[in-house]
Amino acid sequence: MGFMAGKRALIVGLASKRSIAWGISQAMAREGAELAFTYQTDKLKPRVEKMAAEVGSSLVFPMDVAYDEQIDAAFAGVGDAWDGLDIVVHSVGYAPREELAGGFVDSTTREGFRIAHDISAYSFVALAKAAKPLLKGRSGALLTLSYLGAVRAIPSYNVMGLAKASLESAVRFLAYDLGSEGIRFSDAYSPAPICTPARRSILCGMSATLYKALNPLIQVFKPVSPLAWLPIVTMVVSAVYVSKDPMFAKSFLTSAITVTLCCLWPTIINTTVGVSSVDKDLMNVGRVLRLNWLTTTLKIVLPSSIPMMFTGLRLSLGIGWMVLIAAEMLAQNPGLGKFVWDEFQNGSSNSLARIMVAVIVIGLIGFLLDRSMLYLQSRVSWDKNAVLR
Amino acid sequence: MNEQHHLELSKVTIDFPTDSGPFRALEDVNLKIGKGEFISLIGHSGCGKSTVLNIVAGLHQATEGGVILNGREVNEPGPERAVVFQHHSLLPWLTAYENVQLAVDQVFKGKKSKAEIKEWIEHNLELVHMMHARDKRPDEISGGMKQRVGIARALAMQPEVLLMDEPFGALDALTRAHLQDSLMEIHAALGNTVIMITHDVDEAVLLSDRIVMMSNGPAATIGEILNIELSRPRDRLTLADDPTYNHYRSEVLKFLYERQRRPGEEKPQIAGSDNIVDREESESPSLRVVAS
Repeated sequence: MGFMAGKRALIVGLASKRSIAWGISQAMAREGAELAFTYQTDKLKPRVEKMAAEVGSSLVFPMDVAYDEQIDAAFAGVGDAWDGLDIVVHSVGYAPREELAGGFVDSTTREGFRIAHDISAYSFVALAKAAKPLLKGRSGALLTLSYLGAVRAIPSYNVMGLAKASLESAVRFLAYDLGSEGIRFSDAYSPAPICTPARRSILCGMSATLYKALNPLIQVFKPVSPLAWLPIVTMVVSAVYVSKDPMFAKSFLTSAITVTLCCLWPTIINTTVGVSSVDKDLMNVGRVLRLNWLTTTLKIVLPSSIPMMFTGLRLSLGIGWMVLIAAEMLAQNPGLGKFVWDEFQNGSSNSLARIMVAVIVIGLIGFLLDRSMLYLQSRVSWDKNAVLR
Repeated sequence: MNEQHHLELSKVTIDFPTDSGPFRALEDVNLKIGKGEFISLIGHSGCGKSTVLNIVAGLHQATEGGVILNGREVNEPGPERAVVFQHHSLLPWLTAYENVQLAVDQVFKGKKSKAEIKEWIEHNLELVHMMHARDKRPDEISGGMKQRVGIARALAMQPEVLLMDEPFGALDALTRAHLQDSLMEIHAALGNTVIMITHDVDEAVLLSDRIVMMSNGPAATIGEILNIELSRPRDRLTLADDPTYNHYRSEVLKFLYERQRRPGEEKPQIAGSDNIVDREESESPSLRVVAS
């Protein structure tokens, strides 16, 4: 038995198993409600009867909402079978097919407008009218279904949008008029598109899908040696960067791009890991507070992933420095790498000593770079107690 | 539709996807809670207590059934259902004051002036006796103090329902007793509805209006509900010798260690859909079988 046990509901507008009314019927039946159904034309009768039987109902009445006599007859039938009614579901909407194709102005006709409003909007008022005596004293509810097209222009929805707007207005007036009798109205359902809001993703870390998509690429490019990148980069730079008075030397640009390509990955990977491993409880705090995406990112995700980001940055800096020396040698960009290479090539008796000095200088500069990054981290990170080494 | 049910769990069932098909953690959990009521959830580890709390909080979605708060279905987290997490969950890079401020700014943005916000934050820190440590970070204060700040943050959202997941589980006995007293004071003063998960039988009996005892999972549900009819304010020292208090204690212990010890034993009968003991209608300190 569910929370609707003992409730009696009339479902108007069930046409097929794809009707929203069918989903509502199944849910209501599952929760223990007793159901009755209506069908519009004799052609639909066997189908509706069959579906009604599936949810344990044998109460099926003919009702075309365009005719008041049929509405009255159906409610009389309901009144004979039951002593009262708790819920009426209005799942009816219609506009001539021609009205729903092409532009709004060209497609809409006086007759189409009338039909759409009569069947889709007035019918709800008519049902409320007919149901009123049966709902009396039972805190009943009337439900109808609207669509976004009631408040926004949706291509091809055309005159149905106007009818739905009228329907939504009818809900407000009905609620005002009959609310005092304990009858409630709802048009809270704008069923399509039924959306599950995708939320929160900083880069790959917060979105598993994006991470899955990008991770193979990252893992493939990460181990590629600078020596393999260099020729490609040289070719691209030579072909693209043609200027009589270049701001940077070609060799400089080649080295810079190669270094970037090689040292990018540790930062990306570590940031991703850092972002995705934010404490779940902290994220839940953000959810309970309904923080928006930006606040969550700034207040929760970024601070807690800073340590991992810096680990990545330090790795990147180390790799970048190493690659830079190699790139200078190969690209002949002026610098320590080129110096070592030139000394090696000229073969003077002092070369070895100079190369040794250069090696030590390279090492010291690398060390200083790492220290400066640590210093930066200690300034930026919130965790002043963390031992940085 | 009865309006006096402030919070209602109706037929809550949840399945978690696993590699070997869905795992049914909870099945058919029904509970109606009145405004201002203090409910404890007790049960063996892994019986789905936290899952119940997370569903009420909106952090999990029930597979079937649902939660209704003041006539509206709960389907996402929100500040009107504040959560005190087991491990305080303060943001370690913010001070106590700033942690509470994050919540207050979010909930009262545009509704309170800057001065009012400051006053409100300080008022809530005062409530949990934490004003002296307002500018300390979580790693500079003790576990009990962190939990106090966590409670202040939750209270500062002015929640209708306060959800507490073993809030005092990680604390030593003295600190815990202290915080329990504070919580009773706060509950008496503010009258929030509280749902608290606990493993501690004494804590449950001391604090609650009703103790909801959960059966063992999988497909855990409410085993029994015990009404605690001890007058408030309650004092732990006088209650220690109170026979009614000890009766309640032993009832809970019996449930946990006799009835729920061996899974698979015959269970109490289903009492139908209207199987919930209402606060008002319970006339004697009795134990009722409500569901299986």
